[in-house]
Amino acid sequence: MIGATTLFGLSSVVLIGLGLFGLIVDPRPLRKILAFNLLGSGVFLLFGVIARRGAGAGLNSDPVPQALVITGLVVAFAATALAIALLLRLFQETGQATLDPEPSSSDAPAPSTDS
Amino acid sequence: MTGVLLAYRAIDTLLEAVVLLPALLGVWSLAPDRYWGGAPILRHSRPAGALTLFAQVLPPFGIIVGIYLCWNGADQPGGAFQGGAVLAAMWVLVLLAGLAEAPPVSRRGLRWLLIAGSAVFLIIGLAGIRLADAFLAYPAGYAKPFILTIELVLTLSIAVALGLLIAGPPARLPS
Repeated sequence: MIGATTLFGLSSVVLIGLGLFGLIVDPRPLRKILAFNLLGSGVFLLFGVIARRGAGAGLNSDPVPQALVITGLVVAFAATALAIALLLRLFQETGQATLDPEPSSSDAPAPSTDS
Repeated sequence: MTGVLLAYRAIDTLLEAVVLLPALLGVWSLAPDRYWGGAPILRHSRPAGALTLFAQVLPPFGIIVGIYLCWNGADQPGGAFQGGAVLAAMWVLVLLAGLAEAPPVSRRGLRWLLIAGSAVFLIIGLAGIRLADAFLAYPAGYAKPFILTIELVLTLSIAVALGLLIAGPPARLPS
């Protein structure tokens, strides 16, 4: 029987691994953004576990990693919103949400010329 | 939670509130020139049925939860960011259902609302240098009213900033 801390720690490691894998392997920008968020969630969970394990005497948890997680959440949200806005703008300009210079046959309309 | 953070790690919370603004500037800067000053468009492609009902029923409860989280943040889990996020979610829901329009980004009141949280925080923090001998320190006996003032304004600013971040760059011609 493994303890809660170990279980959460392992879960966070799985999340980080999945996120890192998706970030490296999948070329589609939206998938990369999603994978990056998955990776980030894993890191936040890991920090939660660290906060619990590093608790000082008489404290439920160490507040410093928790504060870092709260800051990280805000920054991750802001960065994700900016990344999605960039991706949408790319789609508006080129008609496709990919950075691949060779559009595959399944991709929809040709690049628009106005800008 | 934010109450704890405001008292002991106020600089951290201040910078978190400020970081939303450059992110919003980045999103706004993606607007095509002709739309600058107009309103963002955030609407579900088929705003009907369940979504509309949801957007009519949920916000009253969501707003109460947001205010509760903000108020509760003084000594329990909750606070400006949590409350602001819930309020922003309610706003985004109403926008998605097409029950309201996003405001034009050039509106002056909107800009003031966006910077109000950080500005009030910074002003009270700077006043702390004179009144309590340290940046972001509160004079003895006045910590509670100061923290509540900051949390209240900060919640509104955060809610507006988060909602506008999701609404995206302006996509309507300025009127």
